[in-house]
Amino acid sequence: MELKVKDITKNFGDNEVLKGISFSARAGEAFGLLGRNGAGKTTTMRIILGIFKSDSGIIEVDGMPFDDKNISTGYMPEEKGLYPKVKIADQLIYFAMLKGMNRSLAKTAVEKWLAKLDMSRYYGTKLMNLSKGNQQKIQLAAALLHEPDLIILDEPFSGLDPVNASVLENIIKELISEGRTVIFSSHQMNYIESFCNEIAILKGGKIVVDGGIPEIKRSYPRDRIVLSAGDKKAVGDHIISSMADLTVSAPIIKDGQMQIKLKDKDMKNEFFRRIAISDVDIDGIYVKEPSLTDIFVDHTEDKEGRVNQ
Amino acid sequence: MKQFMTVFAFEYKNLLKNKFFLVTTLLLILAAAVFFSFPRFFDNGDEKKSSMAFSGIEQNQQEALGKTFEKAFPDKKIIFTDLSLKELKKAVEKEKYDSAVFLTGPASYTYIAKTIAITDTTGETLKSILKTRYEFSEMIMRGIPPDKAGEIVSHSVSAKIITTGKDQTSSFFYTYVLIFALYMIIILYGQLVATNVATEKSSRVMEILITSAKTDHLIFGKIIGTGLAGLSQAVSIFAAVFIFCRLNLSFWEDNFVIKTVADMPADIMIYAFIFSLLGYFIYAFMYGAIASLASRTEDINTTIMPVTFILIAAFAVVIFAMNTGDVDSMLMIVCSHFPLTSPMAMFVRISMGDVAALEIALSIIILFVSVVLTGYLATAIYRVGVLLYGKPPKISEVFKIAVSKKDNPY
Repeated sequence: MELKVKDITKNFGDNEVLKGISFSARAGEAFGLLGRNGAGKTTTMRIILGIFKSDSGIIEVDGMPFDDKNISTGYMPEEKGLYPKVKIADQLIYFAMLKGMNRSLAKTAVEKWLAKLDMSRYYGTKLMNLSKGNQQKIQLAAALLHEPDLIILDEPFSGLDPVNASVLENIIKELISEGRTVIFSSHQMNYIESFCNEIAILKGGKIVVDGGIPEIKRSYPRDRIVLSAGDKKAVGDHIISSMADLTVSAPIIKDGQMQIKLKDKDMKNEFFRRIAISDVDIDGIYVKEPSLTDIFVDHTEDKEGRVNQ
Repeated sequence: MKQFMTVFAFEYKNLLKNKFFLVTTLLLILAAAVFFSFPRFFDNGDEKKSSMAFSGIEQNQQEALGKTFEKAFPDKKIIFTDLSLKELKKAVEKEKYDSAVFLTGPASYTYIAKTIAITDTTGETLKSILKTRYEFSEMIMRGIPPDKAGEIVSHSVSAKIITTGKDQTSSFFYTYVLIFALYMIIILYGQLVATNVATEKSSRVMEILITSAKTDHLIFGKIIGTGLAGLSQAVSIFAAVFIFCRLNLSFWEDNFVIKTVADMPADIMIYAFIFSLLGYFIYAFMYGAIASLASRTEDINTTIMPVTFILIAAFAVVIFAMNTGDVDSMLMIVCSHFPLTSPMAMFVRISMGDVAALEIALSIIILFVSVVLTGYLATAIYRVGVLLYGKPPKISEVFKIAVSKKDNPY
């Protein structure tokens, strides 16, 4: 299955929220939607789910217009919401039945998922008596009970402790290996890097970067050098005094290593040559691979210091 | 349809499982049982009679008059004294007697009582007794033999009443009970729908629901589910009232109100059922739609106020008409065809007034069509409203969006 979002736009009154979003997500892969708050991630997800209609653009599955009658969807919204005063089992069975399961199948699915999430003891408990993290696990169960083909998870890791986060991590990996299509958003880049083959970074309703993570990283200007040395001061002084024409500013120390930003990525070889012929003592030197966080900040940071809406 | 049934069953069961709902129902059933069985265990016969003192009556007349008074005031203990008016007043003040009568002449008296209830007919009864006594003595004085005179004064007027419309003396009470029940059913269960919708919205369950089921299934399932749960409650309470009332009816023989309520005609009960059902639906749809515009449950009371006001106004008009007895006035005729007022107005006209079958049918048809239209409009508003957070939009704006069938612009 391949889900294709083609050039969708959406206005809320005078506010242009989406300005032509296009991407595709395939079965057995996870697609990461990234962006700061208000960038349009949730609206994009809601449009895929049919909560909102887009003003223009289409959503296709394997070349045909998306129809939720043929493709079952599971959704975990960012704002977590369930019935606080209803027993866990009762509400999960209700949600599964709304998704088309009969009562006995729904009951079996609820038991299976509660066991999987290590929540079986809360079967007859009211939701309001659970901790926030446990409520979130119930929310995940509500999204996955009916074994959907397309799973949309909006900030699934927010508010989870490391143990629960690793439970969720394993479940997402399992869903991917089962061949489901997973679209999710998160502000925790480590999860995006560990699951997603492809990502799209949104800013102000537009995609500013998209594609496979390794390709994005490779295409990124390789203008940062990481240098490790015993006497960092001597190395630093040498760089400041005789290599200032190549660097943007003085080296900074990060995680015990020196980081240098070059004026241009083409100055790399010249930098390496001058270090090699100098008499400073260095232990190692390499070009820094940009992290996803670097890329994210670089693309979504508001240069004028205003918050994007 | 399957989704509708799922939503319906969930709402129905949730309400029936609600402890507060269950306890209220059981308490009301218990209250009905205790209230109607009360006289069975506490017979009024042993109750202490209130005392009534008479002064200014000659000794030789006391025996005959005493008998007349005892017959006229069976719940009072008659005492004759020779206290002066001032002394009598003091005695009543000091609660020696509950009330007292001082005869100032053959056809004049002073009645002394601490408080006079609105239903106190002592004065009327006394006047009638003294008048008869005066007429009797006057006739004897004018030479009419005592037996003839007795015959004249004791002659009673026989009357037969034929009502071509409705006898409001009895219909008033059961109409009052039913109209009150009808009003309570609409307002209580209608507001329950509003609270449920607002809770689902504020707890954000709505996002899950709306991606799992169609909005019309959600709102119809919710309203019919809540309605049926409410109906189950109302029917059990009414059944309890009816059963306990019937079981204990012999102990309530002298209570006119209870007797008329117990004997209310079956067709009136059926009309009450039809109008409470249709009335509930039209208001529940309005409550559900308007509650979908509130972002927080705290806002619900102010948001639904316009709907509640319409309902209260309709109730006030109907109660006013009932009290004046003019239930077929122009205002009532209009109200009984306007769908927001007709559930109560037409019911009162059927029960207490004079209304043609065709008019009833027309009113029910208008109401039914309005329920269907309101249902569709409510679904459209609900679809826009439930995902709208922040400042509630203007009703007119939402109405426009809902009617234009455009997508949610928010």
